[in-house]
Amino acid sequence: MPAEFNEIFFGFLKILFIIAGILYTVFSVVAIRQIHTMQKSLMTSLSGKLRALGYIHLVFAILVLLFFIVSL
Amino acid sequence: MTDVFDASKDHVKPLVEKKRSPLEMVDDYSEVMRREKCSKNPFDAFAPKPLMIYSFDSQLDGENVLLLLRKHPITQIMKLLTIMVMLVVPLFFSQISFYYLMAENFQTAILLLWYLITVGYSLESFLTWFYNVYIITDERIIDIDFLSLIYKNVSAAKIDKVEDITAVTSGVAQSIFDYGTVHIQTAAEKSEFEFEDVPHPNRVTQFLNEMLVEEEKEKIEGRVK
Repeated sequence: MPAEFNEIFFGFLKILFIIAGILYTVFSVVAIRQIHTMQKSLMTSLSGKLRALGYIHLVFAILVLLFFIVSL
Repeated sequence: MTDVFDASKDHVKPLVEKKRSPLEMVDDYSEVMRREKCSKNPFDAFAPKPLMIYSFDSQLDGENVLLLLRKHPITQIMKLLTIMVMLVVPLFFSQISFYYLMAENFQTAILLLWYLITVGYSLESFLTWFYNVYIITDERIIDIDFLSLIYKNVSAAKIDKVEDITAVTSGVAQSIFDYGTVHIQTAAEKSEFEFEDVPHPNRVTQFLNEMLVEEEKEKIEGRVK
């Protein structure tokens, strides 16, 4: 019984983590879109670096999501 | 005997005068700008004659940014503290007994998710601060607002529509760090502009007044674009 409970509980937790990972990946895509919009509003010498930061953030979010799917 | 023409005695003006940039020309009529050096740092909250701003939304032909303002960095201290606390919180996860009951990969997942949220919050805070700017050009004042990642509002008014400028500095922090809010009443569609928590509000007010005087002169001389 406790083993079954554990399985159900951690299975549920895994789904929660994956949902959180998906939501976060969506957030990082929105952040990239927003960086583009912000750069149109104000083009500075830092624009290229900020765009790169947005993409690195997205890659990081995808890697974490993959970790949640594969490892949990 | 006839006089020989000697060009060296004549005050001959060069055929092509060196064209001055609009950022240099602002020094002619602005005491504030004469005292300030061109800003090269993209993070400056008070950036006179900024060289690192290439363009902005709705920029007109020949319009030049003379002063770029954003909130004083000290106003971001609460967000910075929140981020620091968020970075430290995982050290206390060990205090929660339930944390060690979980498998190692779940513990890693919690840490990753926590740091991901911290990074997201930091990025969103920085972007909102960095792109939430107030711009004074040689033609207009512009207020670009990004209150969050999904809210954008751009307002502009011509300098000659400005009617009243007030700088308000209140509280200990504002007095110590010399920042405050500049209220600008205009006859434009948006009747009031607020440059919130900007550094050196008195200098901003003085500069705007100098701009108004120059605009009046241009009107009288018929140089208005």
